[in-house]
Amino acid sequence: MTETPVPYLRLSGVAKTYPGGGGVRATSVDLDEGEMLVLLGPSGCGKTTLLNMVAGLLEPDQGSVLIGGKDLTRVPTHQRNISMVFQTWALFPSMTVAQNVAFGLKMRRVPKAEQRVRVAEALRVVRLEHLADRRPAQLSGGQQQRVALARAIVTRPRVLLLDEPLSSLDHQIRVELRRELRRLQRELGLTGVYVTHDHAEALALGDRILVMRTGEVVEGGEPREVFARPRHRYTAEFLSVGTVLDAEAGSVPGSYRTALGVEVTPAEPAGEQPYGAFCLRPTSIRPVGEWEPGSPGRSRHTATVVSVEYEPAGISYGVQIEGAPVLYLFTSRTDTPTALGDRIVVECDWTEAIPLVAA
Amino acid sequence: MRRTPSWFALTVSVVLLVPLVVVVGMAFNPGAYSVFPPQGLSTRWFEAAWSNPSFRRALGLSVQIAGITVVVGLALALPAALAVVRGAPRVRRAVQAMTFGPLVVPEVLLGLGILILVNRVAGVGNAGVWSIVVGHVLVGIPLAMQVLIAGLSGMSPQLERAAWTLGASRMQAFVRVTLPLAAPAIASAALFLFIFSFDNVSMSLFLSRPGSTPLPIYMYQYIQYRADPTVAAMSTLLIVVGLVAALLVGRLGGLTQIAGRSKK
Repeated sequence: MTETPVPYLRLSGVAKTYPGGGGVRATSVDLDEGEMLVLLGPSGCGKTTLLNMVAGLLEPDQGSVLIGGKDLTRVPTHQRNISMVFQTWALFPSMTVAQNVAFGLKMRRVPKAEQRVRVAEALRVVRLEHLADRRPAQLSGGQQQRVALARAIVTRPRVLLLDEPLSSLDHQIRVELRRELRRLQRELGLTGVYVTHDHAEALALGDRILVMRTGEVVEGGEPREVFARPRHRYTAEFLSVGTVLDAEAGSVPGSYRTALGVEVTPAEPAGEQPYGAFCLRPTSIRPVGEWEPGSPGRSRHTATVVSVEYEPAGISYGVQIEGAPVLYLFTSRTDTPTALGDRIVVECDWTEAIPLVAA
Repeated sequence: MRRTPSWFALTVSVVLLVPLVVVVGMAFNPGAYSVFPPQGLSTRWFEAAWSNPSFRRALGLSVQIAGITVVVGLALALPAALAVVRGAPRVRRAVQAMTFGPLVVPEVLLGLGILILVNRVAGVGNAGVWSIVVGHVLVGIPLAMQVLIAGLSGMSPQLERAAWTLGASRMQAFVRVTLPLAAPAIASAALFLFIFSFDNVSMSLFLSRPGSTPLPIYMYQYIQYRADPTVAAMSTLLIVVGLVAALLVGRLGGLTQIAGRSKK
């Protein structure tokens, strides 16, 4: 008889309300060992509150937190065997890098000899062995963050918690550290919960993501799935999947009239909630010459170019169709750039449009 | 990089220091009267002061009282400062209201009040060392709290939380993370309390009794009967103690804290 394995981390109906407002509504999520859960959302959406409840820094008003099968809801932080990396790094200023990293081991009464070995190993993993005797104030932001990471992993925590650890770093360092973090987490088989407002980080680091808004989870799933097929308007907008256009019920049941005046019948019928919007990816809209033949499921519109943005892989244009919101399209063709104010014809491929639930 | 001090700062400093210079100068005068500038350099008045048993008793009492004031004052001011820095807004307001009261009331009135209280509770004439300590601690606490709050508020509460996540209990986190960072502020507060108590006149005046007088009161009484520079010598001692304390506080970075800005 095979048992379904108990998920490594389980939040059941965890909720917290603050007297002044905010907080998070009853949330449940399961996470397997070795997986990274990303909580994605803007400030105030409750992601840090959830993280703090896993850490034990906040006690939930209801619900339970189970780690490794044990109910740790009422257990104080220092007995949970978790680790946390903070946005402000929170390195102890009066200690050296090595002493900082050793702190967790010291609290757990690991013998000195073993401490030395494990600290050296952790510093080697984050490539900072040569800075072991420096103080935090002498390090750069990226280096401090790596020390914070070493300090958090050296204790072999059950769950590694990260609270927007890369937000205060320069873009270049952020991308670099993101990759290192992913590699480390995979190699060490760490289970983790990562909080961020940056969707690129969420997509790069998460095995599962939860998209949150004002205290509740809007949508969740594997990053690839959520990005390829968001279900909710909010998700599509937050992940910058594409241009979101309002839609209302169309002339025929099952069809919808979009803000561009085009009627679309999505392949997947709506569930309990009707669709309220459609998302067109930047690659689903393209500039066309008038001589090109059309095809079913595509519509053409004349539009004025209102913005031109150069990106590493191509050019992003914002085009305004009269009486409609601005559409954003992306083309990798940079040989004949269109200028601001030009009138062009764009073609929208509605077969690729993603139907979304609104509200 | 040194900035040349402004003329204004120099003038003010000179004005503040002149009385001290005069007193110290008078202490070295060989003759038995207080003149400035001194007509020679003699240490006989320092010897005279030192060989005076009443002086030594008064000095010992001042040091004792100051020492107790530091210990008791810190023991009360530190938790209060922590409550102000870390506590909920309601707690903060309550603590501030309770502890800043003594700063508003004139010391003389406080001293008188304590004297009356002691007379009622313990009988007339029983005010002494402990009454003086009570008075010094009452006014010393808010002063010490200023220094402590400035020092503690520069510290992020994330640091203690980080310690908890690493397995430290609240007490361990406090001792291993918060205290070492607060040490300079605590030391500054201690020195500040010591000097405040050692130099205090207003309250000690009301609360000392014959045979139990701290040094400043003893000197005050001495001057009423004699005009020799012994008092100047004793004053020089007080000045030196004050200077040493101020230097130490400065090195600990405490002077900016006392001025109300935390060290950054």
